[in-house]
Amino acid sequence: MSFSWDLLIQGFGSALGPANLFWAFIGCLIGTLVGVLPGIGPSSAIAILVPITTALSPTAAIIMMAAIYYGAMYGGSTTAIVVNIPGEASSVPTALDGYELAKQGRAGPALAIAAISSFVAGTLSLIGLTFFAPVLSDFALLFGPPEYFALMFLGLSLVISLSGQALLKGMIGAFLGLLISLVGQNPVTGAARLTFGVPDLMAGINFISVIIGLFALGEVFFNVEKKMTLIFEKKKIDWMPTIADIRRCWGAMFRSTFVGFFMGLLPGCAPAVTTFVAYDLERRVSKHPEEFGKGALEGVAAPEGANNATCSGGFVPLFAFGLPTGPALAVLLGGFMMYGLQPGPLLFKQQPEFVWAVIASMYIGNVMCLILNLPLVGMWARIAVIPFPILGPLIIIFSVIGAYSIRFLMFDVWTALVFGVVGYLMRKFRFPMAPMVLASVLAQMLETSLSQSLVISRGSLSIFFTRPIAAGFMVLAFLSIIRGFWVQIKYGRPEALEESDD
Amino acid sequence: MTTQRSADIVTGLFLAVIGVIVVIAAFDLKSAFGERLPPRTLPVSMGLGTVITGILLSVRAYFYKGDELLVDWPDRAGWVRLVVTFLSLVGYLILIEFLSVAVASLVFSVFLIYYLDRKLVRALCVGVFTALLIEVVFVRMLQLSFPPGFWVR
Repeated sequence: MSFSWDLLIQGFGSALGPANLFWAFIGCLIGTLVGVLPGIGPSSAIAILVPITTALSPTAAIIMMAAIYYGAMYGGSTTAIVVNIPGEASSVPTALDGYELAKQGRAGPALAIAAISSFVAGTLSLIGLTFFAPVLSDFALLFGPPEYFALMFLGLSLVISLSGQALLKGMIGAFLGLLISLVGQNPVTGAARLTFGVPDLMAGINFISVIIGLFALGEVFFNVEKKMTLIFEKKKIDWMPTIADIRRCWGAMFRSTFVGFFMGLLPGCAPAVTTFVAYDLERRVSKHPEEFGKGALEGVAAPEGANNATCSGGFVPLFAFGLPTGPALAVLLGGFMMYGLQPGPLLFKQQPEFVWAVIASMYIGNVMCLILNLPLVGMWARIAVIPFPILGPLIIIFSVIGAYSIRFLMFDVWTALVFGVVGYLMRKFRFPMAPMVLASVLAQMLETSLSQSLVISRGSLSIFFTRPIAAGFMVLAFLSIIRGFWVQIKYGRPEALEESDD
Repeated sequence: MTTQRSADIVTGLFLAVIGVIVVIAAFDLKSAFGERLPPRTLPVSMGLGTVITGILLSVRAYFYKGDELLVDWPDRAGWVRLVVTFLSLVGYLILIEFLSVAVASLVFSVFLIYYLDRKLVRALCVGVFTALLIEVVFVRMLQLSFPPGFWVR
């Protein structure tokens, strides 16, 4: 794949055609609306809406599918911020601070910052995709199972900073998250594991159900006991961010672009991982880290930027090699193939006009999503003004629908209910929830890459320290863990009785 | 468990028991293909981790001598609201299988909104709107495969 100004301009010419522009807009609109629905992530949104695209020309269809993907990424943060239902794992860090902002009457600024950060990161990462794809795709090829394991291990070390003052409870949450993900079938051998003879457990415990239960249902139970009338605590409501708000988030937007884009290049590196990494990075560099988890706008800007940057980064291996880096892109790849298009080096040689039209349409789709979402901020923010006796049951209903929509199993809904109770008790006993979520998201990739690495190395763990990239990540992980413990020992107080960060 | 200290002691012990159960269950997992990572390795490791951290939590809370922090349990009325909400949610999940998601959502939302809000007209309006929204958007437009009502089977 090589860059050409002529082809890019030609691509814009095609993407800015009235018909393609119209279908990009429809894709952004539908993708955003579907992305708002909890449990229906970008991959489900594309899969559900692909039949609509069959009536279109291949270029228009692919433009629309890409726009749906983008729109779903934009929409996913809405319920996380307004009602604490992170519809997918990548929205969990957004919910940590976004919902706190909503309780402070600042849902509007949070939603707007999420949209602006998504736009900035999406645009910058598209520039990376346009100009640097050949070099970056070679970088992605350097990653094998040992590098993935080391990266996931580094991600797991974030548990320490996500736990805040409650380190031991955070570690307990991480162990529980890892245990939850072990239930079901061994991903390598397929044998049943920790199912205790229950057939439903063979399908495993889906982490989206866990997230919906912990965050949404747990929060509803927590609020119901208090006879809450409104979720926001202050009388004054802010509908839009100030210039100062946007200015303070600039750094977060740029840093999260970098994190999201480069991690998004790696096949299998889910947006959930990049959003946690970006959130943690922002917390570490912030002058006010104590604000994170209590309503820091940077805590919304960082994960949302990383989310969208990961989306663009994922297109690099998809276009360069035909290699989808995640479920949503796998569905997009299916869409490409439906129209007789095989992404890879040959596609650029044989149909460059098509590829550059799609890339150009992504720039346009990014702008459209921002234009669509900013005016909708007021509408979504008004959800927080709905009295809780009405909002609470509605949250429960849409959580149930979201949990069911994952795999169309009532088992997932019952799982969400159980974890709703767990989430309620975790709040009561001051256990942070983010470590459990992070661990359950990372677990499967951690285990798979560990198994594969040990096969390569014939059982030797030294493979993680003899390959340069893997060794680098492992060193960073251990340094992060040591630093975290040192900070706890030096500055921490008995944490069993301290407020957690949730 | 009215204090955080007692809650931590009990929670830690409970988690330790969970960990022990996991370790015992994991020892039943047999290697079949000479895997480099035996199937029981990760469950045993995570189980042991849970046991150790659970015991640490209990022990540290037991020896804690500082100010007591109370667990913010609800009052009697709060407990009643909580239990009613939980049981109505359980009922909702059971009803979905028989009445379809739209009708079950109507019944659930009307009941719980009226219970929490005490305004019947408002509960009915919201319930009907929600049921229609679910039926039109989720079932018909997105064609998500929810359980149909008993009248369809």
